[in-house]
Amino acid sequence: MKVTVMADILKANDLLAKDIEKVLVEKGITSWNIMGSPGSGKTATLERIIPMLPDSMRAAVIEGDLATSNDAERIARTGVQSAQINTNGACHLDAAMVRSAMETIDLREVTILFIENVGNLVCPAGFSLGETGRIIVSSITEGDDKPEKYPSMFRTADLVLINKMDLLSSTDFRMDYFMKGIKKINPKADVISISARDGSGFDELISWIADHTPSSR
Amino acid sequence: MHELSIAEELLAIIEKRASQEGIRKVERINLRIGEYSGILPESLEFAFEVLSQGKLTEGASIEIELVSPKFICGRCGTSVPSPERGCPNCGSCELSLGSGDELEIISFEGE
Repeated sequence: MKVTVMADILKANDLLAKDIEKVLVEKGITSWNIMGSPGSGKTATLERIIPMLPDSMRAAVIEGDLATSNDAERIARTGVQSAQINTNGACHLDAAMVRSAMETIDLREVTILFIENVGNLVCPAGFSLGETGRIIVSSITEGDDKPEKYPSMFRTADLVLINKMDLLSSTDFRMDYFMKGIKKINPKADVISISARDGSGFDELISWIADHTPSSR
Repeated sequence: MHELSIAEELLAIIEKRASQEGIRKVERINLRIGEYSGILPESLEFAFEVLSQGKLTEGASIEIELVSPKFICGRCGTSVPSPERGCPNCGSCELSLGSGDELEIISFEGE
């Protein structure tokens, strides 16, 4: 006997993600899925962003890592609510993990939620977390061919940050080559160069976030 | 890299439908996987085989239809197999993926 199924295997995750999206929209919360390689500066970028947000934006952060609560502790020091997810080996966050982490945050006071995904340029792309949009933190030291090499990840980004600009002169990173890669894979993505170390580019980044966060208006 | 989570979902989908249809032993599973889905078919098969031990899908064969990526030009609508050199028709670089990220179970067979 043959049973026709015709189903998307990730449908269970997608349905859960839709639930999350609904809850967040009802509460007027904009959420950003922050993705990138391990060490690209995702947490450092958030540590810079949070104190610079206008008063109308009240942030919370969900941190995803294989192990440790180091990143949630770093975020907690900025004074906003943070929750740590330990995936215990899984290479990405899924909607179920985010939903349980959301239960540990008092969402009433929150208008913007950052979900920092597991450091990985492959798997997180396939799992929707009910987010409003996606921000990739890429960095100079990773090389200029990353958009080409990891198209599934870069294709889904609304914003690509090029971090560690302070190191540009010490590397062979070709900005035009990187930009060409982005243009080829995801022409609609915005790109902002930053340095989470010295703070350059963050005024532009904060304006971008404010412009793309309807809940702050 | 996350083939195990995909295999778990796949098994859950099959178990649910099989119990609805009264199937106790699954012999063959037909999947459609896009080359841009980020899933390695061999890893998925291996993960599924491990999960299937002692289950109704133990020993089932997996047939995978691989879907090649197809890009659509945002300016003129031409379908292009690779985004490498832009659109051959109008030269635009605004190509978006039209197909190739599928990850679907089409059907399964059993008794």
